Amino acid sequence: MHLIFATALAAEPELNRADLGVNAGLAATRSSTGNHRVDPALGLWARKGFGAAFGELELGFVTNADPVPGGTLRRNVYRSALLVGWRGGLRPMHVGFAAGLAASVVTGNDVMALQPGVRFRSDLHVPVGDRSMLVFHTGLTSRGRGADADVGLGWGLRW
Amino acid sequence: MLWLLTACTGGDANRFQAYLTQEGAYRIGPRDLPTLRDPERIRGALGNAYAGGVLDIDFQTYEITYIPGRDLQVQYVVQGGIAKPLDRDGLILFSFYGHLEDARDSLDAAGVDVSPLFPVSIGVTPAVPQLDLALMPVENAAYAPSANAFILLDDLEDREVPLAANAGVVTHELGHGVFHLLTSGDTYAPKPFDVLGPAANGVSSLDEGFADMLAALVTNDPDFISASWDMPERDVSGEQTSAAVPEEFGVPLPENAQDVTFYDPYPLGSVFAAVAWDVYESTGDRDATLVLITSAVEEWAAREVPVQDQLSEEEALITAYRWLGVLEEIGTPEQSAAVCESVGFRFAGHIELDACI
Repeated sequence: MHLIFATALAAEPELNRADLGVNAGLAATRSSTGNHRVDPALGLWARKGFGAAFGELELGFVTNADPVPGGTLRRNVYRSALLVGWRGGLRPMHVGFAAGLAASVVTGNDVMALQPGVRFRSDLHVPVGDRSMLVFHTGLTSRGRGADADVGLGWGLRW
Repeated sequence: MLWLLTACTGGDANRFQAYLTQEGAYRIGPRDLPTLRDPERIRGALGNAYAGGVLDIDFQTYEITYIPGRDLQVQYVVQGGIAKPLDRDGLILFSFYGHLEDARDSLDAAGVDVSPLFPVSIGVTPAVPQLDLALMPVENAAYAPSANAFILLDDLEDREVPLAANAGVVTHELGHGVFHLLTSGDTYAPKPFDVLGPAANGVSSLDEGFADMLAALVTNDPDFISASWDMPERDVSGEQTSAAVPEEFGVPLPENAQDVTFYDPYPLGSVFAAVAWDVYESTGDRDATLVLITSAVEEWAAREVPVQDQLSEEEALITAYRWLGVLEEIGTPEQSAAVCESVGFRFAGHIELDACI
């Protein structure tokens, strides 16, 4: 049986390595009316393990466009987040939970705003071969008095 | 040039970017919103907006209630004194409030007092617990009488000019509020006519028609809806007649069977609205036409509401048409002549006004 919590593997070098990955999925971003609209989203993440714990830097991007008289109003949300988390599960497949600070830069209508917040993320890493993995994630990021949610499927590399 | 701010709102704005319209053509540009006190939450002298909330209807009494939701947070950046929304929803909210201001100002200037309507609640995409209402493919800006609330719903398809940013549509919805105020005397009162009685279909058509009259006259655009929705049948300068109303909608007449549940009030409503537009085109006096149609609704309701229970079914069925008679009766000689000519054409074969014979 390989059901070993990662906390018990703090000393294992495998868990102290770094992962780097990309993902694509859907993000529901909050608008001025409080509604959420769902659009394609892209992401990039880098994770450094410290045993069962890890630190992660995450970047995300989602865009949407609406017709308006005389053209299109495109709104882009660029999100960066610095997270710390914990992982555990059936080795080497594992789930991770992370939380941290986020900063979203929203551009649209020729103006830009920086919106700080917090982010929660959970993911499932499924190994594919020795160094790569499939990653399914869900995330929630606060922005102003609301929050954006995202889900995605990605590919990661470990070295 | 992009401006970076550490909060999406904040800063003092003296103008607001919104949908602007001039006789049916729309563009995005800055405008004043003098009564908007809190642009982030859309709160001001005209009303307070809320995200979500609950819209409910009692199917026994048809009374509508709206329980306000949470605060809005319009995302905008102030640049050069102009509040610029970061998304189209923000533009829509500023526009809705602005169109409401414009409509109120136009009616005030014409001498139509709509001040008892304000402040209103503005519910943005509220939850609808009634399953049969929730599943209806509704997209609109709407006015809920007795709750004195505007309801803004998402458009089902992408439009350059969403319904809630269309000045005519906003004025149309305000028109329902004015109609309710004039007929009931109180914005929070229940509808004064029996909503399941024989007069119901005609009255609901008159309600829709009156809202179209106000919208067309205030915006000076008889085809105001076409900026959002291609509906030539709603162009009140068109050739609508009661004879052309499709039979399945059952024009309220003694010879037609009436179905209150599935009645479509718009086709006949457009015929009523076209009469008002005819009067305006004939007289050239927009303000006087606004005063005429509102005074006629008030006078008509004052006569009809107290006696509605004493009418025979046939008399009740044609309650709404008697508004045309009041219109002719209280108008100036020039207006009355225009009403006679218009009713003679648009209601030919159905309604004849005694005073016009």
